[in-house]
Amino acid sequence: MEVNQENSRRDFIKKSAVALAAFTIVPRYVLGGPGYLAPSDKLTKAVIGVGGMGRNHFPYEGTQVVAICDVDKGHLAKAASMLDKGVKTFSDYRELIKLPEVDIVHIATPPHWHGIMAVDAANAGKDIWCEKPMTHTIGEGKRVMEAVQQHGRIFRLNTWFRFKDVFYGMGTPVKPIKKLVDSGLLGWPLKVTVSKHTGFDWKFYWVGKDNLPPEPVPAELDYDAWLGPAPYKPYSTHRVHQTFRGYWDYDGGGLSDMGQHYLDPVQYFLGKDDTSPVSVEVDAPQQHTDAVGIWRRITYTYADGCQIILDGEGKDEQVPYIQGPKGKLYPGFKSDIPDLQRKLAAFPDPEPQIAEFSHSVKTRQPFALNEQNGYRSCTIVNMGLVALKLGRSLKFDPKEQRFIDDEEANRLINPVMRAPYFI
Amino acid sequence: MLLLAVLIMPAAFAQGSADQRTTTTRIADLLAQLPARDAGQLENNMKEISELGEAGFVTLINGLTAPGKGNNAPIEYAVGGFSAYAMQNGKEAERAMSVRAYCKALEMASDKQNKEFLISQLELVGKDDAVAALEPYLMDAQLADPSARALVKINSEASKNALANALTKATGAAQLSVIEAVGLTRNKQAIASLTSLATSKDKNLVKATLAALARIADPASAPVLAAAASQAGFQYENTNAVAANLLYAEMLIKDGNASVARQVAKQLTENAKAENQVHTRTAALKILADSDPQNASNILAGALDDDNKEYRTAALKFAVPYFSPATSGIWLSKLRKGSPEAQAELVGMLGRTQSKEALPAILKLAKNKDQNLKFAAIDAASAIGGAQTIDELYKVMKKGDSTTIDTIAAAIRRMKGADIPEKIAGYLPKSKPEVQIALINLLAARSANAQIGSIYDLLDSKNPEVKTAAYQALKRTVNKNDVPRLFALMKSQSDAQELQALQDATIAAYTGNTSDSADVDQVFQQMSSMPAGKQVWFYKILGNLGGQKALDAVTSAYTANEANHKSAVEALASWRDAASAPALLKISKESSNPEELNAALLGYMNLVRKSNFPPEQRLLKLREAMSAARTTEQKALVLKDLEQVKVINALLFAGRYLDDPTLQERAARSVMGIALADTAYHGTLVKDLLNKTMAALKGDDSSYEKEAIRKYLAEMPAGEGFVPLFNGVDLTGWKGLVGDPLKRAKMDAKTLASEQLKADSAMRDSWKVINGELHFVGHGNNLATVKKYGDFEMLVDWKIIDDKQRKGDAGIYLRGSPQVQIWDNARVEDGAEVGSGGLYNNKVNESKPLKVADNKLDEWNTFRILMKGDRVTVYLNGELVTDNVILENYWDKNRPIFDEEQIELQAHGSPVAYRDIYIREIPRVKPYQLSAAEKKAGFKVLFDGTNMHNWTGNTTDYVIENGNIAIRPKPGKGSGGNLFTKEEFSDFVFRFEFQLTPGANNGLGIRAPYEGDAAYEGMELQILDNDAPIYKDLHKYQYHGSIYGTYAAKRGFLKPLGEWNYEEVIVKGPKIKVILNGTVILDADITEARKNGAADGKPHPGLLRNTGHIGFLGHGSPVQFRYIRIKDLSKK
Repeated sequence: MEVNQENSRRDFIKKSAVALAAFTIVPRYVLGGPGYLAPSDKLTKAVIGVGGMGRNHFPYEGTQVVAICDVDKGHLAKAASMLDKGVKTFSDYRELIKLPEVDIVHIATPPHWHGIMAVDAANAGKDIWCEKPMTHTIGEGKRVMEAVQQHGRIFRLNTWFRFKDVFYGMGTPVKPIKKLVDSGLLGWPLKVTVSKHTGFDWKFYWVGKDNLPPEPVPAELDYDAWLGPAPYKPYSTHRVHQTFRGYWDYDGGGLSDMGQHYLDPVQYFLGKDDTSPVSVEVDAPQQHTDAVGIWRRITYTYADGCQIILDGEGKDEQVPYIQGPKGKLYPGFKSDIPDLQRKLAAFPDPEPQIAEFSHSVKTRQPFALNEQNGYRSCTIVNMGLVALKLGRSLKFDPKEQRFIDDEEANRLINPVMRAPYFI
Repeated sequence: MLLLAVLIMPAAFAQGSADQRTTTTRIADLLAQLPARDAGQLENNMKEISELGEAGFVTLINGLTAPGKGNNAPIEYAVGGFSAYAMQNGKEAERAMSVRAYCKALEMASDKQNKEFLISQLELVGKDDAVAALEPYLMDAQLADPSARALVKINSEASKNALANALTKATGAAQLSVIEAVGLTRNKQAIASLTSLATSKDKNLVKATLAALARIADPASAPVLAAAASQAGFQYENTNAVAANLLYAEMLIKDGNASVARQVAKQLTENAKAENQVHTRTAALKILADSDPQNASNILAGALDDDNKEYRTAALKFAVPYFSPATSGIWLSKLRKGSPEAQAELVGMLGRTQSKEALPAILKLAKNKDQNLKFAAIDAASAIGGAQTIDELYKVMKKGDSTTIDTIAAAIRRMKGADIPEKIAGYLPKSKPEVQIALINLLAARSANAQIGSIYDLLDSKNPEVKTAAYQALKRTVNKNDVPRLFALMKSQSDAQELQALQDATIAAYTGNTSDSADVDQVFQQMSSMPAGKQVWFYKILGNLGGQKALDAVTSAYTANEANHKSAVEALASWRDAASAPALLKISKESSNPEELNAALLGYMNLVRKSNFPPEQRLLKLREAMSAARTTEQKALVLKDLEQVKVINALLFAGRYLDDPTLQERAARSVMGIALADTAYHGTLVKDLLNKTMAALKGDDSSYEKEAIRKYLAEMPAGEGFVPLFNGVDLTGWKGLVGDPLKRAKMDAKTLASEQLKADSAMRDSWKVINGELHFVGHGNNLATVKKYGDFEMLVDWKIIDDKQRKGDAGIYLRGSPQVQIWDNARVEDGAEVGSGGLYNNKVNESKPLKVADNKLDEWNTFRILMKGDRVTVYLNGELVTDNVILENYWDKNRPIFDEEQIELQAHGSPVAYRDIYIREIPRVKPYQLSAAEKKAGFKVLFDGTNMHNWTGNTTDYVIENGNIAIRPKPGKGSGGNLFTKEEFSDFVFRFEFQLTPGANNGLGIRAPYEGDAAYEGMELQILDNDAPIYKDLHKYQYHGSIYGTYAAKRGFLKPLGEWNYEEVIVKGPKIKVILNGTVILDADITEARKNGAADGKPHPGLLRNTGHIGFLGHGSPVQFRYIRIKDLSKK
């Protein structure tokens, strides 16, 4: 899926096998205090959710997996077979996060679990690596942000375009885009279009099915635990594992799964890390109450007039990625501004970002994509999901983080979880 | 129009009082329209539910069946849609109706899952009105959860009470749901019950209870919560008691009970002292600060003395919102003490808060011996002071070690200010080499052309690293004025690295300017003055400028000497445009050096990628790349580029690699990527490839991808689609040519069979299968398909093999008739410069292609030929060259092209190769036939839906669509012109049908000459949508059916727009009658007008004509005609 990341992962598997012996593997907790970790020391981590996605994350640099958790015994056994014999296995994440030897909890479950697990991990004093989207609802996102900050934890959301790698279709990393936006050469406000012609082809086959017939729950799966905080619905193979993305209860289709990936860097270069759009407009067919469907276009507008357009149809092949009153930017850093590179060189570089998680953990400085800006970019996604679900455009108050004049939309900001789960 | 009318109707029904449908019918009609395509339709559908009313809506909802027993989806769309509709502002009546309906339906529903669904809707729309219906379910193990959730969202006194009442009555899972909900509604009346549950042995119960008590945050609950935390040992465990205390304290602060909050925090601080409890201490610290905003900075500053880094850094983050110039003193005093590590952390915080007050102290720390502290101070100083700190930071840089230099250089790169380059240039001469390098790089990063002089000065620095840095900086700082200087440097330098830098710089200097031949000449001039060994450095510069002269120079340099190869390939690969692609391809195919081959091939593919070729042409280029590719990596790259070529040919080609184990996964992505971009691909070939693709897909998302392919297959249009005409192995499906269609028709079966045997044997000498390609060796006869084809779409690749005879010639015969032309367009003496793809043998209709789209001899070309009725469309290499042109019957010009016949590959005396021949048969329109009565009466058909053989004039804008003559005037391209019968008629009965579009205007010309305005030179019987608003001011003699300008017809007998009208025109001497849809609308005798002139007062010489053509007279509007037949009355 994420091509660049995958390559680096593969490279790393090769490298790590060699490098493993050179590391000292000691949990940070054992060292504690001012001495802390030597730069060469590995951090220990525990992965919750070891299906396809979770298993991909084992070999990250500078970390050692010491525990794993899954509600599917099949996943658990398969994952354990890929790791050292000493790895501890759990079916209940609440037991796993109690382990004193764990530094980092890596959350790779479906999104409806992210909020609870992140908050509990913060309560247990763990640093957190969380898969995108950060949370399933706006309310959970806020709570995660608060819990992480309150406990002085380090949090990373696992998408990366804001600090490394080349965008799929853009052919450039985000840094020069940030520099260009900051320079003002394009003017203000800006309109950013994410379409298949500017970097990402929205995945509309990540949709759910309505009228699912109930099926018997497989013996290896604790379905009730898989559902966790989500409302009870009869089991179907399509509901779980690799196809859960098509159901509102757990995710929100391609917008939810990939939206933050593409919205987060935009939020970053537009300088909107501390705010949210003031409106969201949707053009989509009616959505089913359970199964996520397709959409044609979602438009976000900020208070200063900046817009982000998610173009699901991609009819306009000539659309610029960024359009401002003074200029346009196209994939491959092409522009209608002549001699752009040279003009841009006169401007300052953007502020540096910490792009290595273990560095953040060791120095206790925020990671480039953290609970704060991650919450904001996830809110963009979740605003879109609410608008899509209700089939209407919505206004939003970025400060109060509530929809304006729409009681129903506000009821969807923070739905109550199924007991015994809550945050 | 028709479509629109149908779609609007249900809404119109709903609004009108005349809706006589039963509720059941209305519900069925409504459900059939769900889900709505867009907001507009959604709104209309929901209005309909509103019209149904409560009882009707309940009936609709009662259609829900147990999951798996039916299809609930349409009802779920209706209910979900209505919940959203009713919660819009100003729709309180609808909302209340929805609640009543859901409550009723909830009571009636028997299936729990359906009940849960309805409760979830009440969660969205319910107010007090839903509480009573929800309350009973709080005791139900499964339904307590959704009910409690709904009651929380309703959040009224009644809902709070309902929850509190259920607290002690509910058990098990239901009780947990209620506890959670009670907490969220913050109902103080529940405190007593909750307190009694807080000491339960059930940890889940205790956890929920503590959280609920914490959220309600009564000051009196402090001891209960404190005891629980103590019980938990102030550690994270299953009751989450510590987190409950923290939540409790937060809520207390919000409620104004700060002092209680402080007690809670103090208790945690005192008891969570171990290293693994630092996160709890940290959270408690935040409570202490937040509960005492006046004193927060002091409290947090105190934390800096702590030994634990986590604690200190968290305290500094907490301090940011409290930071102000007034509190800065607290932090500045801290800055003087503490460990360097703690100082560095504090400096970071001061940088983030942009504390101007702290800048002097921070600048001092920028000279500190502790590296980390120093770096933190450098970053903070530049963040606060920006360009103002540059002189101070330079002082540190001047004496610093390499990391210090790097840190300061990075800080300078982040500074704003137009005068920064000038300052840097000023520092340059007096700095030590290491600093010089950093400063040079800073000038380069800013493209500081104004300061390029100071870089030139360092090109002969004695320090080799400085020298290198200066050379490397040139490409970032030069502009076109520097070119002479760069050439002079190239002349004097001989070091390869420096020459490379100068080459890059020269290219950069030219880049961004429009290049002209003067630049190329300038480069040639310089090049010729260089020794041979240095000339290679100019190739890439030439490539960047482009042009034929430059290309010739570089390609001949490649051929001349192996020593030039690397530079020449590099230059070709980075060429300004695609002009170097052929040269690169040749090298990729011929080079024996794998590295060179790779560079040439990647360069070639890069140029193809950047060029604007149509997809078919891009595919041909990529197939060339594939034939040059040697390694799996190279082949995979070709397949990857192929994914962007969204045509069937590319899909089929990529599909061949699905059987190659090393490439199948890549091929699968390409096949999928092409197929899923267009829903039109179909047929067995595509199906088989997609099935193989599913099997080859691997990876995380493959289950979604497979799902997408399955969906694609399920929705695939019916039909066989493309099938191969040539199997790549032998001549199965082909036969030799016997005579021509007319001759063959005359032969008896026996003669034909024996002629065929002879022809087949001759065929084998002339047509050979070589490497999967079909070759005509240059002598012999046409190759014909065994099968006959009517309407079809054909794909075929062809190549004229260059035998140096300049006679290249071939063609594709369609329905046994010549031909879509293929020839060597160098044969200007034969008129071949027009290119291939024309209908060469046409005499009347267009025979030349629209443009030249041929590739060179020995290169492949690709045709897409579409034949429908008597019309042919040809795309050559993706370019439209023949646009819906009539193919004339070569063998008998008095009849239209045959309905069906074989396809032939023409033999024309020169060697030609073919490959990838596919055909897709298109169902044919059934020709219109006269009724027995008309046949008997002597009618004949003028247009049967398949050809325009009886017609002449504008056969380009009048096309055949689905068996109709359709006039499709191009916007802005005039009237669309006239279409006339070839024959002339004087007295006749003319019958036809026509279909109008809004405001459409056409006319039926009678007794008309080809030339002149038929309305005056002949007669025009109006064909007009005369009810359109734009025609409200017409004269009567302009209405539909009128003899234009002369005699008025009766108005009001046209059928509604979109429907077909039947018209009969009877012309006999001076009498003209028009019968429209069974009503005589005109019955005129033109004798009077012939004598005294027309009603419009204009000359109408045509009134006097006794014979002429019948024709459709275009006025720029789309109209369709069909079933055209005539009875000639003069022939009796």
